[in-house]
Amino acid sequence: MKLGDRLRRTLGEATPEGTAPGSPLRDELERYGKLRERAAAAARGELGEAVSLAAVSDGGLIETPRGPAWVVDTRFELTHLHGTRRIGTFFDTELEHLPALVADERLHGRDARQALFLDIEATGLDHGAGTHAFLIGWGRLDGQELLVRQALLREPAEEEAVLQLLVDELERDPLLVSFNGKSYDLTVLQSRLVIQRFYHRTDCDLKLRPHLDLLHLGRNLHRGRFPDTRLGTLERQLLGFERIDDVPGHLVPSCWFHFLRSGDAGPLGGVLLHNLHDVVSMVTLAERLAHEALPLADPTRDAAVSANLARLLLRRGMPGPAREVLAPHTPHGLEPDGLRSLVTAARRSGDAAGYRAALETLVRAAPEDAAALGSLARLLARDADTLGRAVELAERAWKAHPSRVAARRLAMMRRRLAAASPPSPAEPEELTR
Amino acid sequence: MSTSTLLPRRSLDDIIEGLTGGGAQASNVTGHFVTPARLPRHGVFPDALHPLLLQALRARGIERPYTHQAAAIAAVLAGRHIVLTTPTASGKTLCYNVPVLDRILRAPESRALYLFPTKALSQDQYSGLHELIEATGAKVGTFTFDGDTPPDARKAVRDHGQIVITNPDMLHAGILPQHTRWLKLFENLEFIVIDELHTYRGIFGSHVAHVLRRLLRICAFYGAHPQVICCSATIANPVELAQTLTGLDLELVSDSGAPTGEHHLVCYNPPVVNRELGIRAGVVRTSYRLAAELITQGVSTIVFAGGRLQVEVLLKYLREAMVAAHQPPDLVQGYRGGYLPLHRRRIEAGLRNGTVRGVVATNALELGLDIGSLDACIVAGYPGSIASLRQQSGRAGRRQGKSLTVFVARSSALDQYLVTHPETLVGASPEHARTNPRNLFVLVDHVKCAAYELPFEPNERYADLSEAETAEVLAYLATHGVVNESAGRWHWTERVFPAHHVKLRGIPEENFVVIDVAKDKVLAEVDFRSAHMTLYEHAIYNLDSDQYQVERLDYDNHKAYVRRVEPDYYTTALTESRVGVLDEEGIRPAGPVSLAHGEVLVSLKVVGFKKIRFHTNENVGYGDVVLPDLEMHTTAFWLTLPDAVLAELPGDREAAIDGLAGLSHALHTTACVELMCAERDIGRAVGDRSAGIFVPLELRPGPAAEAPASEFAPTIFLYDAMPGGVGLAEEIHKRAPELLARTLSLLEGCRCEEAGCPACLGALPGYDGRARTAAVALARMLAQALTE
Repeated sequence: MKLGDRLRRTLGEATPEGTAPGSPLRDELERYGKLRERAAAAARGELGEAVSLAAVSDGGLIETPRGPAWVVDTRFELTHLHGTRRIGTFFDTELEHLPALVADERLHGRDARQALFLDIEATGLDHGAGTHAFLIGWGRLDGQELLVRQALLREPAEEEAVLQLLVDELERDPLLVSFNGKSYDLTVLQSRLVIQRFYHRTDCDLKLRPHLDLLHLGRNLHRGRFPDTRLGTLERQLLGFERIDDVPGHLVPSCWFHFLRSGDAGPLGGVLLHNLHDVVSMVTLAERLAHEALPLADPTRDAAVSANLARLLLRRGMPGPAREVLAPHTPHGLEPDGLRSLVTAARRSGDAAGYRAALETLVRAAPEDAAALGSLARLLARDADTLGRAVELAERAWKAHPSRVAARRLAMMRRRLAAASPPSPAEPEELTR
Repeated sequence: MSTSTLLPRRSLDDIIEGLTGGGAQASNVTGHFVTPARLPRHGVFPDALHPLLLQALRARGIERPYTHQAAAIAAVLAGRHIVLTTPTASGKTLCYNVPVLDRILRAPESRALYLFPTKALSQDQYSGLHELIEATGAKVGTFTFDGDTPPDARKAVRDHGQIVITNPDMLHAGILPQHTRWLKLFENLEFIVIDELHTYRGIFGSHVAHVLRRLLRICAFYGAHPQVICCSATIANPVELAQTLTGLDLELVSDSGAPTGEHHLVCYNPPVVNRELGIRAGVVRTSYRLAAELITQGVSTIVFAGGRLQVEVLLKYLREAMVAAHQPPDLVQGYRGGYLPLHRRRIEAGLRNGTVRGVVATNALELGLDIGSLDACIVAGYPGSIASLRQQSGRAGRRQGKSLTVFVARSSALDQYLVTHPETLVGASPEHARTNPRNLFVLVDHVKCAAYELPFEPNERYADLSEAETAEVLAYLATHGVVNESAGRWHWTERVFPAHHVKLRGIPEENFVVIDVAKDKVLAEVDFRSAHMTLYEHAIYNLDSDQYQVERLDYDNHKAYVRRVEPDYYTTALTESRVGVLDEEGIRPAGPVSLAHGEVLVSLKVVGFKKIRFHTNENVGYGDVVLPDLEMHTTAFWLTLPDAVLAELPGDREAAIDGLAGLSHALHTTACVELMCAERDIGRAVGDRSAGIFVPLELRPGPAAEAPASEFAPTIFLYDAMPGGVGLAEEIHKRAPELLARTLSLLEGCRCEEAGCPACLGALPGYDGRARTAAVALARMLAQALTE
């Protein structure tokens, strides 16, 4: 018996319609509102002709040394508004402050006009060798326009050609900009470049190129403000851009598989639009984040963002700029987190008066912050005039967090107070034990 | 030499003398084999070895290699792939560490991959290798890479690991699918070391064969052609196994130059305690008595027991025996899976300095043991393969002086066969390690994994498949949408990660959980197949010598609810297998009978259970079980007898059918011996194939009465107990003549003489001479028909 026959008999025939077992495309599509009718019609076999790629998008073929690649180019005037923001603004934005802020020296001397916004759609979320980037979208400045090019695999064999286009683009030595590219897009592309033998030795590592990952910057600046910091959320909250009928991310691979198996490009139209939005949103998001990340006093910046920025600056060892960033909000516009940054910034820049003022504000805003209470107590204990208040604060610190350090500090301050003045009330029992 | 090492020698002599010299125990000894002492034979290290390495070897007291080490090193330096099979503790690791380190010291970008079957072994290997590297004074990045490697350390392993030590499971699911991240390793891979090769057999071996082919396929993509160095315990077919696993031509190095002392192997059959049922004294009790005698007399001893429970019981008994003999109970230590390296090091140190004299270990740990050599070894029950028995036995063996291994047989048919035919255990190993990489289930899974890793090129041949066969599998996968053909190349087009769904060590069916209703607590997990045998309603479930009764089985949700009970009985499942033939190959008529092998569908049904009283083993009741059948697609060998043959047998029809059942049992036992596999590896069924699907004979009220005599076609099936099979059935078919001759001699030579017993006819309802007569007559007829 032939091997193929044995396989069919032992492991089972394929299900009809050529859909893969374990990826019930029809069920998924039914949940995807816009395609519900199409999918139902397809399931009833009433759809007739499959929708061609040309019908969903006006792309075309480009010849490369490695064969033809199917590409859609979309151009935007720089005055184009994406949501509430003008896309051209980014290309005039100063980026010099970013290398220090994201701790990546490779960004030094990079100009916004060199940016290449990169976003892929791939067949799975794991980074393994079998994950294909079936759609690669990139946007860059082209004369007085933003050019977004999307290269789609009509079939896996076109990957070499598509990657060739990307490699050509990389020859211009751009500044890569992505959203989560560090752990996803660049990882998948690196793997594809290795498999298609563009890269042979490890020194051709995509990840060694200058790259700004907006996910990390966005997360750092907007931490705690929204339920999450996904691109969709940031678009809505920061860019005034709302997607309508967007293809949910988890359905994206199914749309391509469906096209591959049936030739029906219907669902791919939505994926191309999804990817286009991702790329354009990155342009305006990058502009907004770069602007927000300027280490300067900016009263129009949201106090919470300033607090996040100050914390980031402190982490990068820049207490001076951190104080400057917080200055317009000081003290009452700041939440305890921002105040804590302010305290640290003042202490690290050696400003004793500022430090004390910031601590005073912080213990008022967060009356149970044991660390702040303790710090302020220590500061006040240096002066005999404020020793009484120091003891009171040390007591509060001990109550908020009864640690051994707090207990020792309190006991010591009490002894000093007792030595300097009439006897104080009995020490708490726990402390004498 | 101190007296403490001299003393045990004399006691050991006494004990060997006591066992074999015609004393009270001698009647239980069925075999005594002496391997004479052997002096070391030395070779020389090649002059060309890196000076730092030579210096490190000298610093570790190795001036000259043994001859086999020298031969292995020379072969590897000459660029050949090798398989090394020398006894335990003959210094195999040096054979690969020397050439690997030599290459890395010369060309630091070179990489080597070490594969060990378990994590524990990887860890042991790591420490040994590390010491040798330290002694060279050079920096060689050596890392273990397994499930325990923290995520942030993984990048360092990928980039800087010159020697990466891992296991097949991690290679399969953690390295190969991510090969683009391991660029440095694959582009520079010069050596693949596969230790404990003989463990890669059966279905696990079939999986590992594919993992290795995938590894080599990826190496080829990166332009690397690594040399392969395999090490194996003694088996009959090391080269064949290594070739099946790797697809390469390998050179065998097997002549050990390591010294050994005189070794005694004694086969011990516990005395019969119930003559009628043919039941013998228990293996645990017998082993305990022997071990206690050895240990109290100062002989360092290791006992290998079948399972964790037996280890615990033996440990308890032996410690009690120490107390009774006014010796410290800590003299005896357990040695089970899950022990931390530090704990193991402590036991090893104790054995060296004399604070530990006895060790009780599970079979599973025979590989991981690095506890030096002891004076005596007791193998409590056949461990399932001769290679295992020898590996265990190898733990007793000084380089000087005598050592002793006692193999204590269980009552089971296979153990009984071996103990009564002890010559099977010595001499050239008859044992073939078998794998079947063409097992369809395994094959298809790994083609998927391979397609995920790299697209299949036009005309590519995968593993041992031909071009056309490879294309057929891919075309099949394409109809399921798993791969897509584009310009002649086949690409993976699913979103799942196939390696996560392919488990190398068994079928990933979901386990059943056992829940104690009184405490609402999970007690244990039971694998899917075993659940059918042990968790039916009213079953008595044993756990750590406590008994629980199954009150309710929630089959759909894989939960069994049990309650603690103290019954005076236990339960065993009554099962029946039905076999349906799907594809018949190699039909061979032999006289009136016909033999064949092919693909079958086996359905196993649990039809009921028996209650058996503790200690007396009497049957105290039955119960019904209603559970879905377990179906398995596998390969089988079968033997069909025309009704006329049965009719000619002495005795009546009932005796003839009992004889047929008894013959199938004896055939099963000898097949296990002949093919050297465990009893559970081969399934057995007897039925009538005239109905197309095979109805078990026992179920038919009167077979001859129901079907016309001409159509009644009683058949014995021996099937591969793994889905898809590992090639056992075909092998049985090939060796049928030897097998039947052996079966005949087993039946004729059994010491039960007339009635039949578990060792020959198996557990028949009631032994009587007529069944045995029929079985012997059948066997004689078949053996004769096959030799003609």
